[in-house]
Amino acid sequence: MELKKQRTNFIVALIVLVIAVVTWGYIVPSQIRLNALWGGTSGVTSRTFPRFACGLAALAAIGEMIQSGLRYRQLKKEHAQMERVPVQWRNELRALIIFALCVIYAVLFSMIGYIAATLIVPPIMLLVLGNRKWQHYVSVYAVGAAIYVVFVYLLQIRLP
Amino acid sequence: MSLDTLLNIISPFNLLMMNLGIAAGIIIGALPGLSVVIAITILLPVTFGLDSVPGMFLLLGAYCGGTFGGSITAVLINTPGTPAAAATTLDGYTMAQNGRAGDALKCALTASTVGGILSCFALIFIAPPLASMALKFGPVEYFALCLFGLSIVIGISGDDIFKGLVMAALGLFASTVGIDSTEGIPRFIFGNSNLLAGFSPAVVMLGVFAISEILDKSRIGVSNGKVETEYAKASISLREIFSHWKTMLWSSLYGIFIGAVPGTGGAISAFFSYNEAKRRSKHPEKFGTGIPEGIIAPEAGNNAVTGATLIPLLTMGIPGDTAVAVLLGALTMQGIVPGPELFTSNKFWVYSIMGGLLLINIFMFLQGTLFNKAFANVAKLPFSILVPCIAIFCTIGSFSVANNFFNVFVMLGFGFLGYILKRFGFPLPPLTIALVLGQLTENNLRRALILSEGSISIFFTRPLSLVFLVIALISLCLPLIRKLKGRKA
Repeated sequence: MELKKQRTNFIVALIVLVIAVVTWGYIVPSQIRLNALWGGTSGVTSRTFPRFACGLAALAAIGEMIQSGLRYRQLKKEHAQMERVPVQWRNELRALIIFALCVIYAVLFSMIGYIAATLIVPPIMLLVLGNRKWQHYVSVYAVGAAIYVVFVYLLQIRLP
Repeated sequence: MSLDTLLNIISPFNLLMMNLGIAAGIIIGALPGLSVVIAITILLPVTFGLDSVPGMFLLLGAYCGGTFGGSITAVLINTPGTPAAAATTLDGYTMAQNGRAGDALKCALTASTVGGILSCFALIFIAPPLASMALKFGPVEYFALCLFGLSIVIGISGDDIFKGLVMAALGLFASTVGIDSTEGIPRFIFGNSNLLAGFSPAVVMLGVFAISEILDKSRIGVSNGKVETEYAKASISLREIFSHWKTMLWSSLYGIFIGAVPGTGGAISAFFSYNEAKRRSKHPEKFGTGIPEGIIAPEAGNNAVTGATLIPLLTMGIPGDTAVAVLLGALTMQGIVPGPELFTSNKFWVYSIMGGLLLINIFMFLQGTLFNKAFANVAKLPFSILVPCIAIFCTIGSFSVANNFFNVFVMLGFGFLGYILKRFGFPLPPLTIALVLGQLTENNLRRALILSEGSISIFFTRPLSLVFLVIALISLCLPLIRKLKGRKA
């Protein structure tokens, strides 16, 4: 388990490093034009701080790679075995379905409005989470209605 | 504090907001897995339509109520509702198992109230002189102070310092999206005019804290609903609770001190107070067997943090912990810039907040005394109901920030990113704190470098800046050194 964790940490840190380098070298210059009149002799421009953040991320990623690499080597020396941890696909899928439902809710919210979207999506979420009690479905609708009243009538926010 | 300020604080609408915030905070805090941060984040959109004072009262109510609410499940089901209540399980749950759940909750409530009130007095007396001192800070000191605040958050937010640094860098980077406030140049907008205003901290927080949390809980399949210990009416008297006044006072002082240091929080304070109370006790062997002192110490300690964390926020604009970073996000939305100038330009607002916080703690005691049994029932609520409710709230909340749908998708994007990063062990607090501190950090870095004509030596030649940077470096290196030592041992 520990061996696999260190390998994952190394790979994730490598990905962060690549993203930081690409952002520093390509995205920052292409997305921020330089103002020739600004900065004077200090050399400080609009690009300085984003590059400071990229540099920090790159350094941290290198640190993480060294740390996880050393730990991985040490564990290998101790003959630790790479354990296969079965992925709980059902659980992973449940989280992804909930996220997809959040996106669908947002899309429906913009297309058919708050009330219709709230009538359709939240019960499906309860169903996906395995809740079959009708009282809970009513409770969610009641919360939806309360939120509507608070935002529209008390806070005067116009909802679609 | 003038009469106008006092009348403003006790206006019926403000009192209503305080009480709603407290009730919502206690309820959300009492739900296992939902922290104080989520309580404040969920209520954040409601404040957009309110004036800054009632809006802050609502959030501060949730902050104090949520910190206490965590102790309800800690006592009843041995699961702390919030990390700050983890130490309360040690004696609280044991006391409840002995048939004294009501007594345990009364001890927790009284200690939380005393801790909160003392912390509020600390805020009232310490913040103004600190603010006048902070007025002398220049851009060099401010930049160093921002790095100091960030480093402490990174240092305590996980055992892997590098992951914390990556998240802080991501937050700083995200803060640069939109129009550059110094030069007026658009940055990272990729041709999308919606990005010109940058990412709203409120929208990002809704995604990172609330959406990622419901995805995580949906994956794990958390089910509450099983209350192991039933609520029993309290029989302990206030006199008996106050007989442990020394423990209450010391724990509150520890909480105030810990809370005033940026980057710390209720959990550290609660454990520290518990350990100190045990160390100072004449009968340390009784700790863990369900004694009032074992509940009073952590509860006074964690609630004493609530006012103290506002000291660095109001005086220097540096959030003391993640919950306060959300408060900073709310203030930004209201157009209020925390910092030393606030104490000269907007005294009325500052004293309203201080006075309000004092009242909030008193109302928390009243609500807790009257409705403790009802709040205890919250622990029976299944998590599956909360998922759609939180999703609705986050969607409508992110929409109401600027009345556009773009923010809803930004919130969902950050929610998914937060979920994935959390799965790989990246801590989320450094991201949000760096996001809210980003602009302050950048503006001061640029001003300082222009002053020094690009030389970074300016940060090391000013004594105060050097002190902040040295502490920042130590707080980043300490976990690494500890880790290396641990491995050698």
